[in-house]
Amino acid sequence: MIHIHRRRFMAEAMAAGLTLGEARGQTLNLLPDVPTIPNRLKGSGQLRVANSGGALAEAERKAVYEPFQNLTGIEIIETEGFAIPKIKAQVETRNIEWDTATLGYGNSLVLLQDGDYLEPIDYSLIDAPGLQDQYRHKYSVSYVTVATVMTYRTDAFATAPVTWADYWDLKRFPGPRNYMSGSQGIGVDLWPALLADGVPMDKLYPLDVKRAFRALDRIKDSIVTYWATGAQSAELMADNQTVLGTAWNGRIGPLLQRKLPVGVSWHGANFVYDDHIVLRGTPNIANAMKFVAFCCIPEVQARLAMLIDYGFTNMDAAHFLPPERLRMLPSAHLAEGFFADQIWERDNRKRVTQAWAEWILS
Amino acid sequence: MMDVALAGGTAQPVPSQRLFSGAGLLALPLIVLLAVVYVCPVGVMLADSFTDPQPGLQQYQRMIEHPVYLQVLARTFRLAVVVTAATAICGFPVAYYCTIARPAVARIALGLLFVPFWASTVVRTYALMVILGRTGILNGALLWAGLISRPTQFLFHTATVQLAMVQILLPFFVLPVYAGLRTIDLSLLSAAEGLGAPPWQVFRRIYLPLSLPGLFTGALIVFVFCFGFFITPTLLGGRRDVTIAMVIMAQFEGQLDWGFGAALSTVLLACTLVAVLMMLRVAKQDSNR
Repeated sequence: MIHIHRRRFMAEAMAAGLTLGEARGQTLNLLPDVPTIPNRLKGSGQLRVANSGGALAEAERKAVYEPFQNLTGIEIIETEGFAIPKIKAQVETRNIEWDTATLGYGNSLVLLQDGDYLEPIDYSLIDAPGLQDQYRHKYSVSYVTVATVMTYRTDAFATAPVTWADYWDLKRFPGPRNYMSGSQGIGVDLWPALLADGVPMDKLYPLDVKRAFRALDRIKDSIVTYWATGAQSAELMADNQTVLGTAWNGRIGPLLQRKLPVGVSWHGANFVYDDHIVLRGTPNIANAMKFVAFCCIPEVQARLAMLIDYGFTNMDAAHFLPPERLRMLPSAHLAEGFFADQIWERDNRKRVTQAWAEWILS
Repeated sequence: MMDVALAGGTAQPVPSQRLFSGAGLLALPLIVLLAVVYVCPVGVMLADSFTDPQPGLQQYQRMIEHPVYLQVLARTFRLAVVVTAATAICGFPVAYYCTIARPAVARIALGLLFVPFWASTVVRTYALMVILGRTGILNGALLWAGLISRPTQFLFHTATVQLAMVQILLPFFVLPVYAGLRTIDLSLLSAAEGLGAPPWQVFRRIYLPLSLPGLFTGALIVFVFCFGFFITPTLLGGRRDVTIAMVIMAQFEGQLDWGFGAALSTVLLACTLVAVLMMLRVAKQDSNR
C-alpha cells in the first residue's frame, strides 16, 4: 500500500539486491570463539534488544547474540528496525518494550539533550583494557566505528578519483553523482564540501556552513539524486546510476565482495561510532548492562568485524583478526580520515538542517 | 465506499430501508476502534503542535519565518494536482472501455490493471528504475536504434516521480470510476443520438455529467494519497522533489522535533481538508445542476 512502513521499505530495498552474500558464509567458520566469561555476566531470563536492522543486525545475530545466549543463559528477544522517537516515546510513557538498543553516538547526544532517556553505563562490569577512552561515554558505549567514504565506478574513469576535490572536479571526473539526503533521519553532511574546498581535516570544526554551501553550489547540477537509506547508496553504485557517490563503508563492502566495478576511497573518510544504550527505567537493567559489557569483549568484537565491514572499539580485537580482514575495516584507515565533532554537530543541528532544507529546494 | 455516498446525487433515489432498528449498532465497533486508534492520537498530535516544547504558537511562527516549509507544501500540492489530473486523463478511457467491452475482455483489462497493484510500491518503483536507468531498457533500446549517442538521464526528475505515481495510483482511480460508469443507463445515450445529438454533444451533455460522481471519487482518493508519498520521490526524484511527508518524517525521526513535526502535520491536515471540502462542494454543485 501507499503508506508503507519505513522498516519494510528498507527491508525490501535490501532484498532487491543487497543482502549479506554467500561470500560471508565462508568466513563464518573462521569466527573466533568467545572464551569463558566471568560469572558476573551470567544470568537468566530475557533481554529485549532493538537493533538497526539490515546487514548489521544479520551480523550481530551470528557474532554477538548467539554466543551471548549460550554463555550467559540470557535469552535475547530481538526487534529489528528501531527508531529514536520510539525510545523517546517508550521512556516518556513508561511503557518500556526494549531494554537496550543500538544508536549512533551523535543521536544519543541529541536524545540526551531532550531529557533523561538513558541509564548511565555500569563500568564495573566492563573489564576491557583495550576499550579506549574516546569510546567510553557516560550513557553509552561505542561498539563499532563506521566511515562515510567516497565511492566511485571503476569502469567510469581512466584514473581513480581519490580526494573529495576529485568528487568536485566535474572536468576530470564527469558524470552523475549521488549525495546523502540530509533528511529522513540521514544527517546533513557538509564536511565533504569543505574538504573539497581545501580546508584541512584537522581544521574542519567549527564547520564554515556558508562556505560549504558555496562549494556545493558548484556541483549542484551534477548531483542527480540524494539517498535516504544505506541500501539506496549502494544500489545506485551497483546499478551504475551514478559514477561517484558517498556511502557508509559497510554498505559498499558487499559490492566489493561481489567483484562489482565499484571502488572506495578512504581519503577524507568521516568516522562515527554506533553505541549500545540502556533505556531509562527498564525493569531489566541488570541483564541489559551484562549485554553491554559482553559486547566489549575483544573476541566478540572481532567476530562482528569478520561479518561486517565496521571497525571495532576494543583495540585487542585486532589480535583475533586476519591481516587481510583488518585492511577492510575503518580501524585500518583511521589515519586517512577524521572523527566528526559530535558536540558541534549536536549544537548546530537545527541551524544546519534548516539551511540544508532551503539549499536543496533552491 | 465513498462513491456510494457521492453517487447518491444522481443514482435513482433509493427508498430508505432498515433491516432492523438496531442496525446502526453494528457500526459501533468500528467507530470505537477509529476513536481509540485514530481520533485520539491525531488529537494529541494537534495539541502537541501548540504545547511542545512550550505552550504558544512558536512552531507556527517558525513556519512563517522560514518559508521553505510552506514552499515544500506548495510543491506537494502541485505534485498532487498534476498527478491527479494525469491519472484522470489516463484512467477515464480505461474505465470507459471496461464498461463497453465484452465482459471477458473487460475482466482481462481490469486484471492487467490490477496485477501490478498487488506488488508493493517499493518493488514497482524499483522496476521503473530498471526501465528508465542509465543502463536501463529504454536507454539500451534508444542507443541500439542509434537515436541517442550516450545514455539520457531519465531518472531523478519531477516528471519521473509523476509518471511513477500515476502508474501506482491508476487502479485507485479506475475502480471507482468504472463502478460509477456501469450505473449509467446507456439507453440515455441512444435516446440522445436518436434525437440528433452528435457524438461529442452526447458525451459532453449526457455521459460526462452522469460520470462526474465516480470521477470525483476517484480523483479524491488519488489526490489525498498523493500527500502521503515519500518512497517514490525519494527513489526516483531529484533534489527539489521533496514532499511534505518527507519533511514531517525528518522532524519526527531525524530532528526529534515533535512539536514542529506536529505543527507541519496540522497545517497539512487543514490544507487537505480544505481542498477535499472544496472538491466535494464542486461535485455537489455539478450533480445538482
